[in-house]
Amino acid sequence: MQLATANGTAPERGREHPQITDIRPNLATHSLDGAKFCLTINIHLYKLYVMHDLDAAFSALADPTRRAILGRLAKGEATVNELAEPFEMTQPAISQHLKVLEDAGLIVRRVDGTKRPRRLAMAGIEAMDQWLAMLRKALETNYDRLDEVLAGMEPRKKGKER
Amino acid sequence: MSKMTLRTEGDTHLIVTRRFAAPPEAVYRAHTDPKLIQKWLLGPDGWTMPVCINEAKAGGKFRYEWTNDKGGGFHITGEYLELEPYTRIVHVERMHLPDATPDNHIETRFEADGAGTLMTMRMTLPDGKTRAAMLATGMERGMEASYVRLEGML
Repeated sequence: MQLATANGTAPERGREHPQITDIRPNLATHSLDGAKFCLTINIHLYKLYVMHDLDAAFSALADPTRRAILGRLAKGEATVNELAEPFEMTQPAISQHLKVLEDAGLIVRRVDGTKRPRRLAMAGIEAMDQWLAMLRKALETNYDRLDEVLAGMEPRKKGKER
Repeated sequence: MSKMTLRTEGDTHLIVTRRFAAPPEAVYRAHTDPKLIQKWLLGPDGWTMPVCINEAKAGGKFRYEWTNDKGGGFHITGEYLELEPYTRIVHVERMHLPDATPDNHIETRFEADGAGTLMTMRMTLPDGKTRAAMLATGMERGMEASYVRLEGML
């Protein structure tokens, strides 16, 4: 999956994720007339429940160091020292990046004596991957159809502008 | 045709590129002529766009209504801000579910690329949260596919 982020915008520090309670009132405001429309609304709400984590996840990925950390963790669990080593960064700086990734639900920590090794949180990664994949699929379906429309269009003759 | 690319940029942008084997004029027309839009801007099979009102001029409004064979439906409304035949379209749109989503600002460019066209669509959302919501709903151009996928997930 392609998930390039062009400019490394730092995410807001300490931003609160919207709570589920912020979303729940929407349930009441949607008119649920007809079972067929219920599905659409339920899906929309389901997505609202999930999206607050996605927001943080995309912000977390906007930084190249954090993407590199994820790349390292994709190979397996690692301690903070191990993660800091290739980056020529201080441990506190790495720890700050790890906190952003953790808050975004992209990595999790484990207690191992005095160590706190980190690993990828597959649920977070997969949720993001799925949404992007769905959008990609929807767009690709349309553009494949547009290819056919374009193939069937007559080239417009000069002087026939509307 | 080369594959479509989709990437995020910063907190609020989403960029889609796609190449087409037709000149920019044709691709531009397919994006602005209602009769042509109704043929491709549909999402997965089973959906149609019975209403396609499209006033392709600066300040002009558009309204696309989709429906499927199971009676489902929703619509998008928007306004054109700038139109430069056949190179650039700037518009805003929002999806009605039935509540309106925040405005999505979209700039679409069509550049000649050999005998074909490179299309670059840059979407700008008010904030990262909205972009995440849009990604989640897949609202941009054929959101229906996400619904179909989700049916299996729920």
